[in-house]
Amino acid sequence: MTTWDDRIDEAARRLTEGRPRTGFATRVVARLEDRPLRWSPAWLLAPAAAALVILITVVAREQTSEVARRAMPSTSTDIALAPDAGNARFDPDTATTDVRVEPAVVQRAGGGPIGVVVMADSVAAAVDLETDLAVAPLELPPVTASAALVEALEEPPALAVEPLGIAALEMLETALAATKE
Amino acid sequence: VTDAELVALARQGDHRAFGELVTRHQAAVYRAALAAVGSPAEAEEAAQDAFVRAYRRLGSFRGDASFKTWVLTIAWNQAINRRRGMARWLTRSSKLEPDGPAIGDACGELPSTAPSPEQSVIDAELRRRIVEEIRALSPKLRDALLLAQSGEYGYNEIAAMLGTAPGTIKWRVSEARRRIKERLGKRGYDDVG
Repeated sequence: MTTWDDRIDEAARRLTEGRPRTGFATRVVARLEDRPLRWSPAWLLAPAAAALVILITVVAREQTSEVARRAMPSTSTDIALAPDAGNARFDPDTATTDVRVEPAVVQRAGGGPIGVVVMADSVAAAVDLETDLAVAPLELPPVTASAALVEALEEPPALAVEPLGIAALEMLETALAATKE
Repeated sequence: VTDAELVALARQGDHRAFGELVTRHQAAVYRAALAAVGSPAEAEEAAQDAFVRAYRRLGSFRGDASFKTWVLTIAWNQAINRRRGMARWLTRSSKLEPDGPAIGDACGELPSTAPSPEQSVIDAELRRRIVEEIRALSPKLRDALLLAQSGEYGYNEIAAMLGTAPGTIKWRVSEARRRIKERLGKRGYDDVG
């Protein structure tokens, strides 16, 4: 006589009965051989791509900050904020000048200010032109030319210009009249 | 050639040796996966994944347990992960054999259970009810019962796969039977034993 336990066990056994399809082991081995070839390039390329992105980001940020640094020189800002730097004395006799420094606000393309700079036509501070801006005299060797060389130079021929004839003007007036008609 | 020798060869990159290990244990691995996911197609994929994963982890196989137990544990975890990803696993598994065709076939194979058409109908109906009750069990009880009755594993192997003690597995199997019988009794079936 079959008991419920036997029927339950039999039903449970039937639910897990079966075998994998033919060639199961072959398919597993094929996966072992295929997968490294399929995935190794991806594993190699992924870190390389990430490194490239980071490199590009760093370079781009460096260039952006460099441009911003050039657009906002720190010396101009300091001078503009200094209370005594707003006026610089200039005396023609003593080679100094009074120049009003007018700082200007530099804005981003979006509208936000990024700093204060001194405009190009302003002078930042009192400058002693003789001492601070003196340029060393240019020393050039004297030009010497021998007399024979000077004589060898030929005088260019004189240009002969013929006076404008009246006939040409008459022809011009005739042509204009014909155009109007 | 023993499993240990094949494992040693496979560790050196011998795919044929590993293929031999697959051939030896594919049935056990497949049935464990089938017990977990309930679908032959899903079970075969889970079994394949388990063997591939086992090959890649051969370096961590210390030989404390047999290779079969080790690969069964990997297979069970693979299958359970797959089962968790199957949102409608219960619906699909109930559609697999809604009227228990395998059980019906088994009925046909056993002449003593089919003395008359009336008895055959009664037996088929009872088996269908049993299958329904097995599927209605909690996962822990159902897994233990299916693995124990598959005939492929001992209690120690099942305990290693499920990460629990052999005594717990025995209790779960017994509890699963008790609950099924209890529910069948509530449905009006009397124990034929």
